[in-house]
Amino acid sequence: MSESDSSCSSDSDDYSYEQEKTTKRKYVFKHEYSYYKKSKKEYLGMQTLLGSQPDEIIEQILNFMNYKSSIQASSVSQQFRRAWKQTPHGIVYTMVIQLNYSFKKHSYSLDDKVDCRKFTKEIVLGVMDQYKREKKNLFHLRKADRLISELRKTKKQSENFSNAISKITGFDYERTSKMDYGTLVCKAAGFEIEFGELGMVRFWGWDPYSKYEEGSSYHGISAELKGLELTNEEWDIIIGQASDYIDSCQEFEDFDYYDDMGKSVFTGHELEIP
Amino acid sequence: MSETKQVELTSKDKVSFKVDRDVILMSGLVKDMLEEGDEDETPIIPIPNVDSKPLQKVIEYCQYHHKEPAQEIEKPLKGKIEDVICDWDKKFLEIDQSLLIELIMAANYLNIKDLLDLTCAKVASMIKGKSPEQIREMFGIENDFTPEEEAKIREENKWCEEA
Repeated sequence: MSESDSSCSSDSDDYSYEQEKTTKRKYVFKHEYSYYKKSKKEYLGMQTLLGSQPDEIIEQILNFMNYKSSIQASSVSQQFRRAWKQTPHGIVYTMVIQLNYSFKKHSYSLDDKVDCRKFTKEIVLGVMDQYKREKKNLFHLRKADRLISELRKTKKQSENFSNAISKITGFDYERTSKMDYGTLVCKAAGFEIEFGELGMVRFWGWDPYSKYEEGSSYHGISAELKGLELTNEEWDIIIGQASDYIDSCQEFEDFDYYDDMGKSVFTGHELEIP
Repeated sequence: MSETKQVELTSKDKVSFKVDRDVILMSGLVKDMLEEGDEDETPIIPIPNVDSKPLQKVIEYCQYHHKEPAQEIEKPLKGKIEDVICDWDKKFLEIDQSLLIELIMAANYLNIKDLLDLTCAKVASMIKGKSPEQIREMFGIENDFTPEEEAKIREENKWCEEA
């Protein structure tokens, strides 16, 4: 019973998330696809700004709406749906839906004896699981923001260092905003990958770029930062913040970024800042 | 006038704005950054995600509201947004849609809660009562559901409207 409970109403959300995580190849493909769609839209001269906002903002907007309007708005796109499920209306909705599916599946009638406690518990756990999963993504985003503001606090910034920060910030907000297909996941993953690589480029002289196919979206930032000729001190600040970031992300099992062999790229490569 | 400390903000398109320190402290981001910085001179803060146009609006908002805090907007919004906000805010929101969305981004990035609430409530008020198709059209959002997903959502929505 629990299997169907937790999957029935959430599998449309999970689909893209799971897909993107499995292999790099699929990841890149999806990105290119959404980029193509985007440029077509730009050609038509349409406003896409709202569509490229993080889920949190959509969630904020939906919070101001009543139940009926927000249910309508939740059918606009995958992102709206996902964000809406975080709002109080959405949470109640998910519970109602799950009850309904269970009743349908087991054809309960009022005469049947239903173990209410067990039943409710399973449903609530299912909802909480989904909620936690989605919050995790938000966590990555907030971390990224904090990383940037920490970096910006650094005193006596050289021009190169400010440039580096703009590049990191720019990566976050501009380049990834083009990925309207599962923006949130791409953004978080992008940061993980970038800072993971950044660390490795710096400390072990490892060149991660060669193993990526043409068209991968993650070539850019580390190479750009390398070109800026930062001083050792400045590198240490950036790497230091990035490794703090990575450490805190690693508390979550979802974080590990797997290489082609299915092995985490961080294994045996812990960052050490003197 | 030497007592009024100032801060210089630089927008994405490299336009500088000089603002009183007290005013821009409404931004959580700037506040965090200033706490660590030196106090003696006018600090320059780059805001690399925000263009000059929305930044100008943000500063306008802060200049007005740092002395007169906005009333909280209730959730959910009852009626139109214009019914629950002050005249100044009404005037402030007479902007085109793309600037409104840029303002949301700016408010989110700079962490100005009241402005984020105001702009998000405005969008909510615009969306309210519209069909999904109308909303997509309004903001140029792509319908990325498969026909199966759409059918499922329609059915689920029906259950909940009955419930």
